[in-house]
Amino acid sequence: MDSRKTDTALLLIRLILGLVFLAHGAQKVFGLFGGHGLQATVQFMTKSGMPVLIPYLVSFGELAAGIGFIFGFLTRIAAAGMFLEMLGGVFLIHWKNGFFMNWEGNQKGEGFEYTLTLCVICLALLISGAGAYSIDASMRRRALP
Amino acid sequence: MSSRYSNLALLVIRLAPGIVFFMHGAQKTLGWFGGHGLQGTVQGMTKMGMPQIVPYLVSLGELAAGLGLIVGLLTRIAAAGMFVEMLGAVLIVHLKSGFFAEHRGFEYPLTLCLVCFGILLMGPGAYSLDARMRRGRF
Repeated sequence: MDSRKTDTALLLIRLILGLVFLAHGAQKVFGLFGGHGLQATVQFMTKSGMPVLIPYLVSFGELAAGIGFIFGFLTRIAAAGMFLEMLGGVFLIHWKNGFFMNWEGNQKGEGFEYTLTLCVICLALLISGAGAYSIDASMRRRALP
Repeated sequence: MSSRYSNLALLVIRLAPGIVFFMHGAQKTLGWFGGHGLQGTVQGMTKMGMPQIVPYLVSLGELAAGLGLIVGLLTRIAAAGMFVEMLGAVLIVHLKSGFFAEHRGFEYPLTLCLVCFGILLMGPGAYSLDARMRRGRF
């Protein structure tokens, strides 16, 4: 396996994952891109029975992890956090709607396929780390004697 | 990155698009999981103005590529095919709906698209039928 190709692939995978979590985090925290903002997100998620800590963790976590993935900074921590969040998303939120997205409009809500996809990709990044094109790697290089 | 870790990561990341494409391919080709089956899929997609070859390629391609990605057989060909299909899905089907998946936007097909491109670059890793066959232990 050519390591330059692997590092490029890891960079691409980090970029799309980072874009997704940054966009959703910015919706939840700042109300950008048609999102509800932090107050409404907290209200909505506590109303559905979650402890008040969860919406804060989820909102800021998605924002921070998104930025972390893009720059490859604290990548494994970001991946672990988003892996857990997406695991929760699959089982607590989307499981009841089945596997598939609700793109034909005949389900009660979205199924878990996309959430599961993100969950599995985060697990892979948790195992692999960020690759060479990352702040993590450049910090490790500088730390070497 | 130790190579045992990277091979494990490759196995895990193959499973993400593998499961998704197998499920959608089985819907389109076999009518499983509440899908329309091949005839219904061909009708639906030609009605949208696509040439008749496209729904056959897409349906059988998703089924075959899904299985191929899961077991790591002809992995790069499967990844290349699904990369092209998802690029088409992003540009032709989902781009007009914006980014977010809840509005049928392109974030989900774009994620699959780039992960497939990543697998195309990296190959299947050691835990795959491709690697076993290359070692002649099949």
